[in-house]
Amino acid sequence: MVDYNNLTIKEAHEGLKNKSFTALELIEESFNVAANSESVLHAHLLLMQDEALANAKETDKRILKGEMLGELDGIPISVKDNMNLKGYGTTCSSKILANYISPYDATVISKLKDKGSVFIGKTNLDEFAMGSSTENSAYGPSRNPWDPDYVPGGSSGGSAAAVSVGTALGSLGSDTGGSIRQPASFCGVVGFKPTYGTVSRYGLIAFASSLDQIGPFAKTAEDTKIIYEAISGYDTRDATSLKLKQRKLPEDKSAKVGIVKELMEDGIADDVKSEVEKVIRLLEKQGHEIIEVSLPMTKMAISIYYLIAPAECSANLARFDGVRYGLRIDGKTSYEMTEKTRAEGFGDEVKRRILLGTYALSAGYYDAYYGQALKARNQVVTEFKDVFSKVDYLISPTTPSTAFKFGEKTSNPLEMYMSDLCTIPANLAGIPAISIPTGLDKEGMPYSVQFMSPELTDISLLNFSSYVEKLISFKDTPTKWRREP
Amino acid sequence: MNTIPTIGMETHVELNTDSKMFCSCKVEYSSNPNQYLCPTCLGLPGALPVPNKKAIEMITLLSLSLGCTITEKGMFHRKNYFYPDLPKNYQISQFDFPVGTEGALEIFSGGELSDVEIERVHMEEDTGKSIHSGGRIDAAEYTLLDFNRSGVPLVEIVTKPVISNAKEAVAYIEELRQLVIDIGISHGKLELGNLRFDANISVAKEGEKELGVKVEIKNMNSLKSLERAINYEIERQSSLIDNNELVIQETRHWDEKVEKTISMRTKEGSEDYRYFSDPDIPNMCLDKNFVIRVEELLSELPKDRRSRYVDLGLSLEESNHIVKSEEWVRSLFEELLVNTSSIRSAYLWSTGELLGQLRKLEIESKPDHLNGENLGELITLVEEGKISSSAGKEVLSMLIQGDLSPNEYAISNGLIQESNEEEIEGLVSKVLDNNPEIVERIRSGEDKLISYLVGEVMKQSSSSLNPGIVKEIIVNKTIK
Repeated sequence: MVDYNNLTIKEAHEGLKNKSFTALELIEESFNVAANSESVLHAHLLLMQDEALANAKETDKRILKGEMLGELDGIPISVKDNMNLKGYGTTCSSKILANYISPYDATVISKLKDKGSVFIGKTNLDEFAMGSSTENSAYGPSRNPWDPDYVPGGSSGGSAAAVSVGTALGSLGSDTGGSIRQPASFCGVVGFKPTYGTVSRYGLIAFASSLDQIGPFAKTAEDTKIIYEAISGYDTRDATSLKLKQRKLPEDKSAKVGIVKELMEDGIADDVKSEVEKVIRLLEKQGHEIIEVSLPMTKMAISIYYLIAPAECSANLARFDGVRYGLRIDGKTSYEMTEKTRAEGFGDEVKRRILLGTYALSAGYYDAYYGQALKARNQVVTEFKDVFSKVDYLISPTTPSTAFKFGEKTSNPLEMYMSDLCTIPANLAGIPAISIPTGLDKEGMPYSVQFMSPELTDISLLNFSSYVEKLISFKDTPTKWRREP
Repeated sequence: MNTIPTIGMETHVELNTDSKMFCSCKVEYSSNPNQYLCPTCLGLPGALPVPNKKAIEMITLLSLSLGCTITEKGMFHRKNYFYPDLPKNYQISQFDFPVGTEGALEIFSGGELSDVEIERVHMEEDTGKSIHSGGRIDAAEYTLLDFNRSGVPLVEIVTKPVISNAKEAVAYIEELRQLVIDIGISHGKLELGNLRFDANISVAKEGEKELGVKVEIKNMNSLKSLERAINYEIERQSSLIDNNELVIQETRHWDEKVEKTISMRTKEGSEDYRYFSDPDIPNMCLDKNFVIRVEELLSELPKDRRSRYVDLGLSLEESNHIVKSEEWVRSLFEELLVNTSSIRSAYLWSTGELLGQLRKLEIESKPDHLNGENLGELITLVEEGKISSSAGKEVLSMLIQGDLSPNEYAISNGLIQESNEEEIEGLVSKVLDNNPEIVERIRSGEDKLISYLVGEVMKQSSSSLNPGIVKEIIVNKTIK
């Protein structure tokens, strides 16, 4: 039997290669965990047991022949349910796509298929990735494995919970304003948002195209690197995909680290600040040069984000009209059909953002809102460039607080939006950012720290994070999910 | 009261690229609906657009042909509106950075050349097709959708409001059609909707400084309906103005059956398309090097061709006629310019006699074996007076039927004319001597009678004479 507790992708790969266990045993164990935890956590919208077991057998055949496809061959991976996986439903946790079956694979999916990864299921999210708690899922929220009374974060909350509890050893999420890093932080796992354009968005159902980026969840930075290396690369199907090469930064004691002043001020819980300071002291002890830097525009980040993201989403979600696929509520005319379909199919948060974006783009308001936001976004990019001329990495909290309880923020959308305060700047600037767990608060909920680095230094950021991870040495695993919430 | 109409044209041209604007689906006319589809042109969730480089090259080529300034920063925008045959419910188009701006197209109308100023040339994608049951949207029981056309690259060419009548508008479309065919960017088939046009028409009282209220007539694809619709609309607006009634700013469509423009139901207020730059497509860099590379692809434009023919001796009308002729006629004509010495004969034979004979035979294009060389040989025989022009027509009909050498055919069929001047002079003298009365009348100015004498001389000869030479000798001997 496979000991799933704290098993990493790296270790699982070694185990498969050394024939300590078979891929079939590994995948069976993954579904055992799902069988035990799903009723509490609801991390998945779909489990793909039959196909996963069949694929595991294929891996085992390859192992016997000595033809393993690499470190991800036979590794159980789950996928946020806003990415197309051919032949299966892709709901985006929305009623509007309840009956939609994907006729094609997202680029990230075909890349992982080529590596022999075993897809075990599609994970829950806030509807169309809009939210920070999975409470906006039309199919019910996921729960936090560390304590099911708490949200797992969002929007990729299902992926974070699945990796945290061990259903999957890795998971793909998407991050538009923090949707990978914030749930990773809440669930005590590593979540990585790559440089915009290094992972193809083809097949990811768009929320805000200029901000969306697919990235991995795993237990360690090293594991996220394994997944990132497999899914990244130029893709002819995505015009925003980059051909440029990675740049290397210092990955050891010589690395200079900047503390983002504005993200250690008001709006951040004191215990969260102390936790970040604890990590800073660990780095100082190693002899790192650490300076405080200022990014004044980060104070504007949420305002900028809530103009740009809704504007893009108002157009991106226009295609859900009941004409060609998904939900259709009939009407007397095609317009009436589309109106009724969208009224019935979209949840409140999605409607709120479509309205916001439609307004921000309307004639007479464009210059004041959307146009202004674009200019401010350029300013954010410039500020990061300046700061990265002084330091290699930036450190900050990932979230203003640790995980919150269900219902705590649902009545006040602005407060919910604030939980992305520290994560949004990296999306606006297109730079890579990672959240790594550091410890537990007095309620037993995970703390984390965020590192950011210049664009196209993803690999260095991941290597540096592995190094920091070893200094922190966080080894806890969640147990409370075993009781009913 | 006199009124002055002003017309601006918006024309959509479907490019003839192999694949669609933002995906690799085939661009091909198909009677099989929904045959050429993929996630991108069907607007499936998660699919992304990738611009077609060839199409960008083509629109740049067109913009250069129109003398436009090429934007360095090419950008695509999303034009947001809901319509069932628009799969994403936004159209990828261009807004404030069109590929080409400020150009002109030379047109030939009313016997004169003039320039139609071009405001902008921009790139966009076509929509799918709605097929309403019963053919009418308001009475349709259901609507079928065909997305084969969805995502086909479209170039929109917008003129300034500078066209003053329907004939000019037609000449503009004819010239534009010829241009896109000649530079190889479109099949230019109006019947397949390769060119579709909207006309903006406003009528003002004479002497008014401002243009009148603009009425848009949408989506015509034949020159006949364009001309009739514009004339109808000018008439309609003028009579409203005459009766002191208001012209409403609106969109109308031309109803072929009743030969009227009919108001399309429009929503209140102006449409807000909420244009914004498409985040799925990075800006294009149409820099100098790119433009220079495209410039090298430029071939002779219709207007250059027209002026070359005029320089070679054709009238403007004739030059324009050749320029607008079918491709095979134009290339045959070009070959004849090499193989004959008279551009006029080349023109008359290729556009006149040849087309006439083919039409009688109900043949659409020339037979393969007929070319500039053998037709040129025939024309030269006539030009040099070796055969009569009626014999030439006979040879041509034989040439259409099968490959032959006009020269050999003329010889073996006794069509070669006698050109021995001494012999002709003898015959002429004989005839003049026998008709002193007629000679007298010719001398006193009755030129018409010369042909009678020519006929008499021809009768005297056993072999065929060259009537031109006969006539010349008669003239010399009578009038001079």
